[in-house]
Amino acid sequence: MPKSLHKLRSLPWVLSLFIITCLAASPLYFIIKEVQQPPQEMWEFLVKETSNPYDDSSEITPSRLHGYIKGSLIMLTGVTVLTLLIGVGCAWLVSAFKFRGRGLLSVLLCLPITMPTYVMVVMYKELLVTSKLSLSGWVRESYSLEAASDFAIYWKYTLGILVLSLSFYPYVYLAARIAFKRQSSVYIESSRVLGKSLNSTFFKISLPLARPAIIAGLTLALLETMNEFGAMKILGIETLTTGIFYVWQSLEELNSAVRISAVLMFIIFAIILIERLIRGRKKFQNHRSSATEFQGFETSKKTQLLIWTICILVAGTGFIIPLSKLIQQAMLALPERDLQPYFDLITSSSWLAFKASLVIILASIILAYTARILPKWWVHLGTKISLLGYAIPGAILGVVLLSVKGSLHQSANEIAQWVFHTTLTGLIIAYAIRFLTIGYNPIEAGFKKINPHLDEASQSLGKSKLSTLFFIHLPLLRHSFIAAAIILFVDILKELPLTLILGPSNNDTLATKTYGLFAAEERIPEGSIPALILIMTSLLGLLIISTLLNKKST
Amino acid sequence: MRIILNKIIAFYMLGSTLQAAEEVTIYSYRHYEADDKLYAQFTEETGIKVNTVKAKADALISRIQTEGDQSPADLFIAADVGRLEKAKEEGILQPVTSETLKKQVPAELRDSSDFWTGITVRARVIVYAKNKVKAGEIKSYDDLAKPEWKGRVLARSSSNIYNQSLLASFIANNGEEKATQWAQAFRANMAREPEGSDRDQMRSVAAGLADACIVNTYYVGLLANSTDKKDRDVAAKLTVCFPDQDSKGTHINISGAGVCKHAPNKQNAIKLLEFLTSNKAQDTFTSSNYEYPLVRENTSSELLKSWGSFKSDSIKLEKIGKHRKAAAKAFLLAGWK
Repeated sequence: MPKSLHKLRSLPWVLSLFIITCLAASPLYFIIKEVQQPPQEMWEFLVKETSNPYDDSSEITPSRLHGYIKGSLIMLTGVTVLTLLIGVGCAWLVSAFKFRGRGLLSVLLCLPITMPTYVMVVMYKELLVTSKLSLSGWVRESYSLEAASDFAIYWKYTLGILVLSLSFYPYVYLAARIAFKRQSSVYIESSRVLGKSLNSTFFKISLPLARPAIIAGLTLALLETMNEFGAMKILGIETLTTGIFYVWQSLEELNSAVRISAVLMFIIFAIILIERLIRGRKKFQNHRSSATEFQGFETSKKTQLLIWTICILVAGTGFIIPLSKLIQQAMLALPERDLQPYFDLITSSSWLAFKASLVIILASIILAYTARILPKWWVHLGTKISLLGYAIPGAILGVVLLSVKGSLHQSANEIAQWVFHTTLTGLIIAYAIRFLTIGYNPIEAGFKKINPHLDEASQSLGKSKLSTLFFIHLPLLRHSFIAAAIILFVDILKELPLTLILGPSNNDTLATKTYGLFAAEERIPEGSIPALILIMTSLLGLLIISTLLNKKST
Repeated sequence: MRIILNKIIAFYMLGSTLQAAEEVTIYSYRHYEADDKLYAQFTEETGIKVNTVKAKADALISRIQTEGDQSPADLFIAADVGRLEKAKEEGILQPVTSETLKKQVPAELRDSSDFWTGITVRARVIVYAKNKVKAGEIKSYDDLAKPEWKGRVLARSSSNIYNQSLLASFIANNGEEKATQWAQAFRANMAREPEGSDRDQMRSVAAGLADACIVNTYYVGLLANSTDKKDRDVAAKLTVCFPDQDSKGTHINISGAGVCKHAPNKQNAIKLLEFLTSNKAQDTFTSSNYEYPLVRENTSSELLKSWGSFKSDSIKLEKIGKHRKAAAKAFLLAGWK
């Protein structure tokens, strides 16, 4: 084939990559441009220490920005430790041992992902409010006022770390579970035969092999932690993300808000960089030909009981307990509510989440496939840039897209009207920028597992790139699609800031409805109804998708 | 190519606008369900379809700004005077003349140049524990900043717009310096760092963690009428106190609305405003949200009546709105998170 023709054939792929990259890079460009502007009036006070003359201790309070960074780092540290402990621990227990109800437990452990973090926080707050108040009263009586004030601070951080870890450990758990499952039984059984204990097999063989997957899961959990707004706001923990909202809305300084988000993105890039460094250049390739996946060891009744206790404890605190509280609260409000409007919301919210997931999966396929057929550095760079949307705080992304929308109104008004007002296109594009990484990662991993010889074979049979993709790759990738679709569907269903900022008129979703009743009206029982429906819809989505998965794999 | 595409889309849009000739689009920060009921009622009475976009007030303001003269927004609704004043300053509103509005809304609750008008009223009051504080012990907001209240008071975060408007009213009345001092002294008296909602402050006071807190009136109403018994028990332990009755009067704030500068359906927006400020609609706000109606004498809620009538700060609300940024800065300097 002449070289020029060959180049022409990849043109559509390159063009699509270019469009996706430009869309995803526009917010980044805006942030960089904004930070180069001179700082606004309040920035000075945000980075300045204060002292209160009425405070007896007359200590100097560190600057607000200092507080935001400190809050974010405390949350990051806590969530790192706990999600690793819970996620990896549970995944190992479920993978390494054979016991009754293993399937059930491994599903139960995924469920906290369906519960929006702010819903879980509100439920735990409701559950614990009496004990918290009496405990803190006791501290005040028996110690001092200062001790009670400190107690309140320790309490909110502990609760915050606990709830965020329970919300986000499934990312680590799922990654570790799949990694452990895929490990060839040859390694593990050899290790056992050579007289290594189960513990040292775990630490010396399984854990190192699963490390890249675990770190990737942890990175997702940490990015979610950095971006968490609702739960932090409800608990009164100040982080960079709550700071962005405060500075943008209360101080009315967009530039200062963008500066804070630049600090936040700096930390996020550091996390991503550390992930790369830890992963290093080492390749953790499994023995691909081994047909025997590791099935787990037989266990005694006593161990089985222990495993059950631990896993139920995790799934219980992460899902069952807050869900029961939610149901109890919803029952309080149920008798006097008309449920019809909520059922309408189920269809519209799921349809939106479905469409957006589809778009994201499509974009992910384009990115991953372009990188496969054109392994050039600039393709690689374009892909990397496209994936940065996940690092941009939802609210800032919303604001940036608003300004994009503004310029579109000036130049091509009908298109802008169509994109942002009559249809959900604008919102879906926003979701795509934000969640592309989530869709891309499993699909790219899937592509990597397909032997390149298949492509060559298809090509030598005269098939075009497109038909190779359709007839060879896509059927092989179906598991990756399902993995991507699960998380995308659930995440988009829960999404708040972008939906609130960019949604067209009459676009209530289950998440915005819950938020409205919880945050604005503080009507917990009434808000529990849409929250419950939201969780049920996520569960149903999970169920349908995983049934599809099981059906196709057998 | 783009022109053709634009034409096609324009044609498509034409079809959709012809279908619903009579409509009005609201950009609202109010998430209350009672509002939706009122909109439905309005549609029933007038045949005008109501479209709503609900988001945070600041997001809505930026959105209307970026949409420029193509914005579909007819009416901007915010839950405090600060955001209304901001919307006016940013140039997204237009003045309207309506005799009905002038009749239905008292002058101090309207913008003097008619850019916005109040819809409902809420007072930011002091609520105290019955068993800890004697009636009459608290007379003003300033009392809670005195040294004898150390470790006894609570209030939510300063990022809350109601706190900002409260402090802005102090600035409007007594100047920035005095207001900053009040914020510092009150901050030093707090039993703990600010956290949670107005409802949380009341729960903590009821549990004995502090003796008094600053909250909006309708939150007391929501608590007292909650479907959860625990909430009703909390409300039973508390007393509502209207501060500054011997001086300037209790600080009040409004939910309010303004017609957008480029409103495609200006007349419908005015009609809706007239409807929302009418006696019938005002009654709904009071009975389901425990907000005060624009004319407080018309309060029909038994709970609100039981707190008694009170003197409100008569300063023009737009003055409070103007000082919102200074208030945020004062909070920042006071270390009030």
